[in-house]
Amino acid sequence: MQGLDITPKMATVLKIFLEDPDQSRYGFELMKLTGMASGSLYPMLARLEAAGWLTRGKEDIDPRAAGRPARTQYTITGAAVSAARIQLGELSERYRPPVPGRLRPQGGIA
Amino acid sequence: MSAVLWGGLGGIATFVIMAALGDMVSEEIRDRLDHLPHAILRLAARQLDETERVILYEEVWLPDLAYILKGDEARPVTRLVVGTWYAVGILFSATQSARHLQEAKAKASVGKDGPAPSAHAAIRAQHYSMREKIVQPLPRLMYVCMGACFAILPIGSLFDRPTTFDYYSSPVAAVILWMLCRRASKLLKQLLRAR
Repeated sequence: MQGLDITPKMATVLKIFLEDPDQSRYGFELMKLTGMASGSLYPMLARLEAAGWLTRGKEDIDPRAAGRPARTQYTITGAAVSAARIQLGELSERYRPPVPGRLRPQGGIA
Repeated sequence: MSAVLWGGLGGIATFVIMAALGDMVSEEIRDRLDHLPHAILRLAARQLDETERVILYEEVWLPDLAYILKGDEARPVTRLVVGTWYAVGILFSATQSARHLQEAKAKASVGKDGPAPSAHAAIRAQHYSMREKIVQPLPRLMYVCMGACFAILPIGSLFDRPTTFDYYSSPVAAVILWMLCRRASKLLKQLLRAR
């Protein structure tokens, strides 16, 4: 599995996968859950898959009965779960606003 | 009296024919519009190679679009808007997805089988970013040029000779430009693949 620089958009997608790591997700389902456009989401899924963070599978349906082809579903890999948790934690720390108590009072000496 | 009767009958017949025609036309339009997202997606797939087309277009994008258009939540207008929006997004990001796929393939084949069998894939992965920069913007440029031709290039009127040609000059110029862009794009692709 390759390391990735997690962007805020990628973090949004990974967070969905981390909510239930065993559950597979579909591309359009992720679009609805994250509010991202297909133009941003699908290249990102391809990138995550290329880096070994996601694996691809097929929807378990009978295409004839459903009247449509089986969709591709994505599942987060075991190694990616721990890596994603660590990187999301780091990202969260990076974007966390400073605690007000640590601010120096006006005119005071820190 | 007879004239009034015939007039009334004629009115009813016209109304019935017009209603039937209206239904047929609206059904035809609905059917055609349903093909719009598919057409855009096919356009996106044309930017890909054969193997990438199978993986991305046939296995990922097309089933998702089918779900959008035929799923339980599909409503006539919603499905058209969502489906078209989905396909347009894919159209502008197809090459990015393909590049990630290509990189992954190249890395996998280099790692497993050594450089010899994967040489072609590795070379292609290296050149892909260059192809993306040079070749792929051409179709986009082509559409912008076509739009510009339709909007601001009435060639005939430039010469101040109002003839029938004026009415056709913009589309003709657009088609010629489109053909030239296609040819240039194909030549560039062949050139880059040959390297």
